[in-house]
Amino acid sequence: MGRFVVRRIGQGLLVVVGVTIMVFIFTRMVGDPAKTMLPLSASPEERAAFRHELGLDQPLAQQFADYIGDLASGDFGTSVWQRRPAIEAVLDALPNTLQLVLLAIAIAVLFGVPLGVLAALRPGGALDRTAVVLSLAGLSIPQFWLGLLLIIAFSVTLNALPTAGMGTPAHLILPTLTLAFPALGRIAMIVRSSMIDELNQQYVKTAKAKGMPRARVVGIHALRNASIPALTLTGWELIRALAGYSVVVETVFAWPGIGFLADQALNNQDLILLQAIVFVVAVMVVVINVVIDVLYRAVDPRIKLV
Amino acid sequence: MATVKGREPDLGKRRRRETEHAAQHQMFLRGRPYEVIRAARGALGELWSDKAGLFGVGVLVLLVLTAVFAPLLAPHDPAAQSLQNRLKPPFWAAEGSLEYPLGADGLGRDVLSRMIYGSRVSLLVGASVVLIAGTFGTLMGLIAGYRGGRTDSIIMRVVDTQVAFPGLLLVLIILAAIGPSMTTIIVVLAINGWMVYARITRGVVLSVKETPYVEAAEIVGCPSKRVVLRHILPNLTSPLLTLAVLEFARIILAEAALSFLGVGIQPPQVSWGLMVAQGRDYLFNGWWIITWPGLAIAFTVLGINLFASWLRVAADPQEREKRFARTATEMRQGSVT
Repeated sequence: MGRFVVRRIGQGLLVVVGVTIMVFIFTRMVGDPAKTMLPLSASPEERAAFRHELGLDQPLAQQFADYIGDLASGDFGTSVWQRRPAIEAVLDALPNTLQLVLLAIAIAVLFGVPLGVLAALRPGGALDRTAVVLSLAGLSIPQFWLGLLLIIAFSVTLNALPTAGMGTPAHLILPTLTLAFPALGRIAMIVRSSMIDELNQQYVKTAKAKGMPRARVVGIHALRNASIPALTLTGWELIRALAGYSVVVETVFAWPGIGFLADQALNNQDLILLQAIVFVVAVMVVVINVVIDVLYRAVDPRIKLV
Repeated sequence: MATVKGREPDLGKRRRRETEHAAQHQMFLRGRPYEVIRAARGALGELWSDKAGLFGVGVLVLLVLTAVFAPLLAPHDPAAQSLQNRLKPPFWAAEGSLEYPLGADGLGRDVLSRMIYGSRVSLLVGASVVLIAGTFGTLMGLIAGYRGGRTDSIIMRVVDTQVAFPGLLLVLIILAAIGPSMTTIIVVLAINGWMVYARITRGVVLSVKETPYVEAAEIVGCPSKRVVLRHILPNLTSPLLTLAVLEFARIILAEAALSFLGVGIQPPQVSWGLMVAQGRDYLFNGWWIITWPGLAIAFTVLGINLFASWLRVAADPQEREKRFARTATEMRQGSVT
């Protein structure tokens, strides 16, 4: 187990390194930071000074070595826009994002799993069709649009909830719902299909035949076996919410997390801040992947962690 | 079964019609790969019974026609501003007029015309990305699966690393570094999406590589290019087709999100995501500006998804086999009892 975790973290580090290299290639080799980060009116001298300050006048190999060295020692550079260490700005915003993402995924699991199970009990029934329609809607509706529609409905028309920002629990409702909705649909669908498979297995028939209560057969025996794919998907949803959907949803609701920070960094052409955000998210993605792998083992003892 | 009596003569007629259809398709499809003939022959007949799939195809056809004939369909120039018509509501509202059927935006531009032109961007970006990422990914998957060994492990390591870090964030930083334009979006989304094709292709290649007919082809001295392209690639038609359609839907959503965030399509070009972004300032007095383009995205993606689930069954010989067996059993049971 310990060795397994160490190895998975090692593989995860490879992901972080890979992401870092990609970011380096695109920001330094394909794009030109002196062009994107300075205003158009900057003079050639200012550009040269900026290049020198960031070390962009060095050979690429030297730049890369410096870049990796800085990252390894925890130096992510100074945010041009916020005028403070980039990593500070990211770590300040991170708890807000975690709060939003964890709550949204928790809601998606808490409602998605029962919905999937109930739908699987009677495929083709009314509840099943509701679940399918709901998940198709979640798959098709763009999140930024869903968020804006919710604002129009609940903030503009009903005047019941705040449109943006954070502070009170009421501020959490709309962003969480927006973030949870597509994930809920996908989780419900995967639970549904794996439950349908499990309920047709021999062990379920045996359990039923020996007179075990239905709730126990479905809720414990079948669900436990059906939860492996659901677990994979939940981890995946968590990652995607952190590394992508949060940008859109936080921007719509001006939620002061790293997604909103990324959007603002983008508008301010602050590549250094963006790099720090990508790096922090990459580390978290690795952590989530390891946790999910360990959870597999807890759910299904047949899975060996090697 | 109650319907047995009425069913018998009808069955004969249906079978004759089916044979005729099949013969027609045979002419039309002569020389195409086996799967395509098979899929198209039964699938077209089956589409009618799959209402969801039919809806999907309908949406796609409508979309392509709209994109192609945009200049003929749009009542206004999508960029033409008219300040006295700004924030005009849709035609059924009191102040609305049929001149701007779905209303006008904050600069007095016709929402319907902009939506019609926006379909071009969605389709163009979606199709280009799928084509580029699909070709490159399939090629990588073929190489990895067929060569094996070190080539395989290097390619798959790259795939794994890239798959492990999904999402918009990496796309955002690349777009921020290079600067947004239609070409950049297509390239970046393709870089971000080729891995799935490589994975699926490699999986199929690995399983097909051991089959007797591939070994036979190798033994008689087929060059490896021919083995890969003529004997292995046809097995990939169905899974890759389905994947490409699903990816098409995902790319349309991604383009919309990027344009919404301001790093995608840039004005004065028109895109549905950009329209929603431009309507954000008018949530209080112009709900229609964001509603229509959002609906367009949602229905497009929904249609493509439904089309994909029909295609998955229709283009897969094994799935079709299963379905055929089911209907055959039902028919036999029907005529016996």
